[in-house]
Amino acid sequence: MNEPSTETATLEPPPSTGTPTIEIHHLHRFFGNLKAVNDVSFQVHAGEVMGFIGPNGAGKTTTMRILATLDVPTAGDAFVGGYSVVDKPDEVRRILGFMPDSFGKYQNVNVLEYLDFFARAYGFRGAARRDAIERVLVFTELRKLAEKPIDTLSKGMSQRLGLGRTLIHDPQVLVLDEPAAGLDPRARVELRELILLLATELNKTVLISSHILTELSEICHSAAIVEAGQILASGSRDAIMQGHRRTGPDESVELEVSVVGEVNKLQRWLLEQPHVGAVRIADKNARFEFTGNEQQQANLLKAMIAGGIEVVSFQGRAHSLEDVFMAVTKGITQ
Amino acid sequence: MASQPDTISRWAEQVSDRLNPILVKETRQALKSKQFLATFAIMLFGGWLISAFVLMMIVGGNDDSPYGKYVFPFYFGLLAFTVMLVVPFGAFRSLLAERDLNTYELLNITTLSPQQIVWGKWLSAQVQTFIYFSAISPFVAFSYLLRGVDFPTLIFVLVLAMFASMMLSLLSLTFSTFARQRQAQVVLSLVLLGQLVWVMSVGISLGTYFVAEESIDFSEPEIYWGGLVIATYYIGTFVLCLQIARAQLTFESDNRSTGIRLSSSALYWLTLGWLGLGLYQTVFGGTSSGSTLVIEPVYVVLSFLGVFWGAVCLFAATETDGLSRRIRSQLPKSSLLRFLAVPFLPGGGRGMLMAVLHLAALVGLAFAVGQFIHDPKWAHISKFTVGLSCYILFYAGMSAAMGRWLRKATPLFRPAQTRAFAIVMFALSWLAPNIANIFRNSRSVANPLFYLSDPINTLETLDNNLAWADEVMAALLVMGGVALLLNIHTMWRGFTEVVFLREPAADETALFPQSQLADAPTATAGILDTAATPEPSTSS
Repeated sequence: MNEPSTETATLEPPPSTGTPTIEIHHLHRFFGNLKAVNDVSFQVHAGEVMGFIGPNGAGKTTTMRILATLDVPTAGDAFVGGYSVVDKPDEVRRILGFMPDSFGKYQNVNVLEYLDFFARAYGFRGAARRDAIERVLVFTELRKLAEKPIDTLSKGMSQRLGLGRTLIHDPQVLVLDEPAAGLDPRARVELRELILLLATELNKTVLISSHILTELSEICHSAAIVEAGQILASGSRDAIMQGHRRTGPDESVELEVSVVGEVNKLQRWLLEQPHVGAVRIADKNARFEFTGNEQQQANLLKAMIAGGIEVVSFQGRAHSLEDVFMAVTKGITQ
Repeated sequence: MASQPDTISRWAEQVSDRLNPILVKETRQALKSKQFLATFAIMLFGGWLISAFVLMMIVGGNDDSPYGKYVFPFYFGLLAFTVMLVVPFGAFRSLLAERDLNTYELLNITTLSPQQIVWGKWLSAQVQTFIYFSAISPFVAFSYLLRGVDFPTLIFVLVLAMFASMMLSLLSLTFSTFARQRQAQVVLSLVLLGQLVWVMSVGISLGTYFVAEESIDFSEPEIYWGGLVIATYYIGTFVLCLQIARAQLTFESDNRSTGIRLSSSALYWLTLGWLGLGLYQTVFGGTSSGSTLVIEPVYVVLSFLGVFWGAVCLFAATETDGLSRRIRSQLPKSSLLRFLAVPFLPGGGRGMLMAVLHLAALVGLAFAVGQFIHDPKWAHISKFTVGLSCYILFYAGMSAAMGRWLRKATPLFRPAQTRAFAIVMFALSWLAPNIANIFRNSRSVANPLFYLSDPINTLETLDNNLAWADEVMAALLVMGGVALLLNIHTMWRGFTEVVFLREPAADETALFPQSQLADAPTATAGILDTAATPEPSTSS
């Protein structure tokens, strides 16, 4: 693991070729009659951040626990770095770092001792152990707090330490269960930056669950939406949003136009145009449904400008991950 | 040149690299904990207080009394309080705390094995024990200087206390692996605390008695033989407890059973070995002739062995059948090794096989020994072993069969429930004829077959009631035979699954209805051509 660069990491398009680092294959986990995970399949590639989204009780944590070898599937399998979590759990543990939703704190232990213990537990000895601890302290910027007892750390610092523990053996794959839960906005942004760095600069594969969908949409290359133990949608973030926005040639897209001057004139003009419907006005903006194709969209803009409307911006209103989530989930609880 | 503190620090780090990580962490934690500091302070303060009181007595009086004999029990009490109560209970709490603080799963996903976790916890308890022993040693030396205490006896008592502490720590750790729910933790904490207080009291009484009476004659060879027997059982029990704790911390789909089965089998053969050696000494060692053979101790040893082996067989035979994929992938390549490993691998059928093989060996040995001991009393022992074996087979076999039927009826039925159910049934059937007699106003049924479900009564009949012995024996053989027949198919399937690598059938692998998976696509080979057959939820 390298030190983080001083620049803010940006979200690059995800790599989608090659062997997936995580492959979940028809995974089932039943607890008696409760189907906590029911035929879940998806893949995550190296350097990719995948958001695992779903309401409480959807089966996210169960799936993540199976990946972390803390549970075994009733049927199906999951592969991490090519190793089956069922057949080769020891190999999986060497290349996977799991950060559960609750941070386990030992008493009478400081930050350095905490990391030292987990480095030893992963088999690091002597200089290798010291190097591993140093790398993590630098990466998580916890150097100054090395001697601080961990039960006195703030929630944000605790999560950093939890992430540090997850990274102590420099795993190829990170599984993070609700890492941003309970963090203040600054700590959330900082954690988000660290996670992005891990994927973009250190080529780690990250599977992350969160309830804060706006957060996820900023760092995820791809997403899987799960409800009642089943995957409802999965794929690259853009494909999910695009797929949800336009699923056929006759379906509408929502467009938003900002203008200088009177917006009512724009409204009247829009209502006279073909393929336009459901026009709504707000401040200097107009939002409307448009059923034409991309060429017809371009023609509409051309006609708008030719019609003397002073256009400041003309854009398709992107559906957020939250919109998609609300649209595909049905609020089923188990 | 590096300074001396640097050199020491580097050396300490190199040493710590070779130690169990949990030992390093726990020792750091323990030495900083308030509990350790408070206990250490109490111990030292108590020791100084006692010493000061004794010095005042000596200075005040002018007699020549051996004060050491009277002072030692107080010092020993302080030591026993720490090493037989505080340290074992601390070990118990230490493992529970991992669950309470949500750190247990973090430990579990490291490369540490469950055995390393238990060892680490146990070793850190021993480090504390060592520190407490070091703290009390000046006071013990002081009591020796005050005279009245025999040095070998003093050392003997201290060594006993150390071994007791070691065993109690492991037992406490094993105990804590069963306390997963909050309610269970509270109940087990109270039970353990009660037991530890009782053991500590017994320990203090024994230590005081040995020192006061100086009753141990170290010149007698029997004490060394006795010590050797106790030491072997101590080691055997220690290993068994370690295996139970390890199994409790191991995942369901891993092998939880082999370690327990092997260590139980070792204890079984250890008992037969010591029994055989004792008989050899009695018959051929000149201490007794064949005609004056005393067989009561043999009955006692066999009865204890029967209870122990019955419990082992009940647990082994009621496991779910079928090996998990994880265990199957770890089976030896050699078919001969797999053949030899069959009785020790998880699965109810293989558990039953282990029971049958060990009991057959017991009966075979009893009859073989009868060929060398020409004493009519030995024939009773042979019959006793047959009767005892039939009982164990019957109860273990019926429980295993019942468990299979109940699992078929409801997949939620777990092996632990089968065992609880079997124990209740066993207790009720034992009591039933005796309770029936109470309602018959002292007109007890004379026919021993009426008491067939009461092993103590029936095994006594085999020995005493010559008129009915054959009928009772025949009935017991039928009971054992029926249990064997009910399990023969499962035993064969357990054998072929390992030796011929037969794929387990659906009813052997699943604890959930197969119909639930019927709609779901069948798991096929993964991207790396790794077989992805359904994972059986093997539970032991």
